[in-house]
Amino acid sequence: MRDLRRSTAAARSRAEAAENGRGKDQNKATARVLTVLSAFATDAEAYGVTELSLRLGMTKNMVHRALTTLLDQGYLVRDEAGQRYELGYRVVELQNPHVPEPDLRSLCAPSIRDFHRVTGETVSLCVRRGDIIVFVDGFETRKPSVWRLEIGDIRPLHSGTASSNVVLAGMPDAEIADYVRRQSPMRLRGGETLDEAVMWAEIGRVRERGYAMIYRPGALPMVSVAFAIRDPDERVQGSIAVGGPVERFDRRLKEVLPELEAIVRELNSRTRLYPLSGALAASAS
Amino acid sequence: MRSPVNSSTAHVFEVLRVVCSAESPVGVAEIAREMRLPTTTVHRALSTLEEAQYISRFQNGSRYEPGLMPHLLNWTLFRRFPLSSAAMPFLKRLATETGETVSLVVRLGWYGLRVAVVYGGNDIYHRDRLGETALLQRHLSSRAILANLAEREFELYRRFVNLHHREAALELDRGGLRKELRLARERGFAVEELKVSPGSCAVALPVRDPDGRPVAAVTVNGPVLPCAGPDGRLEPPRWIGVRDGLEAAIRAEGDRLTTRYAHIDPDDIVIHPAQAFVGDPNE
Repeated sequence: MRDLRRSTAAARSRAEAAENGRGKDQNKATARVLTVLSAFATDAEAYGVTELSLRLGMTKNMVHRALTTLLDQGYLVRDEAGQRYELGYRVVELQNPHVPEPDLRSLCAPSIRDFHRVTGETVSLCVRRGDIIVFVDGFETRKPSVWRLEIGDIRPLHSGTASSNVVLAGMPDAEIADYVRRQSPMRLRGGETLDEAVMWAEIGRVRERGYAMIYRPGALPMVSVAFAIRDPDERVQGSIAVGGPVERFDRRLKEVLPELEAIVRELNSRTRLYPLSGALAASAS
Repeated sequence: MRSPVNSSTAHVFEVLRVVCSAESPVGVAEIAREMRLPTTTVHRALSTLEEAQYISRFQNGSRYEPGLMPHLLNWTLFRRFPLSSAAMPFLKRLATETGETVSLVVRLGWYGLRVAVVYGGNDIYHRDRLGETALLQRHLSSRAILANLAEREFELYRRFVNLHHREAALELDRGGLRKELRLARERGFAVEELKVSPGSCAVALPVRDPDGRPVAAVTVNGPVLPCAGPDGRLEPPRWIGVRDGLEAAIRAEGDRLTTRYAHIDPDDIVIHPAQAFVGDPNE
């Protein structure tokens, strides 16, 4: 139930999309069945008809029909008490050994596209690898005055970018303290040293807001915001960020922040399912 | 008996299964031919599946491959087996100790389902795919389970194979498999010579519940043990105690770790025989 409310909006929008479909090209009844099955790709153990109906914004009758179909197909089974529905073993048939498992980049690709669609600015994806973050994917805007994206660029966790700040803030305090001991004095790109108290104050702000936001001064002031990407153990594996010139992006960012947060919630509902033994886990040290 | 599934929904699921079992991306005409359906019906089914992320276009072209949703559903399924997370510290320890690929296969009816994989640090590693599903006789891991079934259960398994997987039934009576199962039972672990490393074996250790029933197997896939000599003697691997630690954890937790889908009769769990993942006997 933990993510039920938070994921309701995204699930509903999928249900609405299924309902509207693409006109004649789609089978609406089957689209509803697939939407109901997709709802089972969550942390929740089992669902009842009412719960699903509320979550997906479908009538109980529609949900019941879809559940009956999915039971018949073997993709769902009744739970031990026979009252609720849970994912069935037959979904193993939907795997294809000839298709590689999605890695973090392919899992995040739709969110990178959505971030860019919503903001029109440069989007970046980074993963944590030990004491650094590595920029592994993203999309650079075609607009003039661009927040530069360099795939393969690495930064220490204390570099003060939105991407590194949100990763650092997602680490347990003891791990951060160990990091500080290892890195001390924490040098920045310009040669100056990061004050530990300043770092902890920023960590506090990030934790309070749930995201990192950085204003970088200069001849062309920039603003960027970064959100954590979490694994099934709630550890931060990396971050997704978007940034651009303050002049163009600052006001727009404030307008679209709730939309960006919704995209990240949807992304994290997927990365939280990622098997710990998979490539996502391998990206962290 | 009335089937609640209307024919167009059934077609959509059939199309999905075709895409998910194809060896390479498939197009509308190919699917229509295989299913003997009009291309318009298949096109509609593909559109419905693509919109819901069950399939995606291969390289943005006109052929399709499985999409993200089947992966998400399967990852969810693996998480439904609490043994997979409970076993993780033990699998990691084995992977560190051996440097090889270590995985956990749990029993799902009369099949083995790989629900966790941990890769060791060796430069060359063996890829064990999550979600691999095989009849208990088909893969090394599953054979470690099969070898330790009680006689009565083994007969039930034989009946199931005869009924649903006729092509596999003959293998059960072949001398090679019977001898391998006997040796695995006597030794307490199963081995398989690696094609890429002749003379060396991968090892699978059965994992038992508090009543002594085999519920899973831990497999170390790599050249971790020399193959047995002509006398068949083989010393157990030195790290066999790690498996014992996992069994102790299961005993401490009671049924919680091992009863996933236990309320379903194993005979009712039938994985589609045409699915490539059901296991290749020559693998």
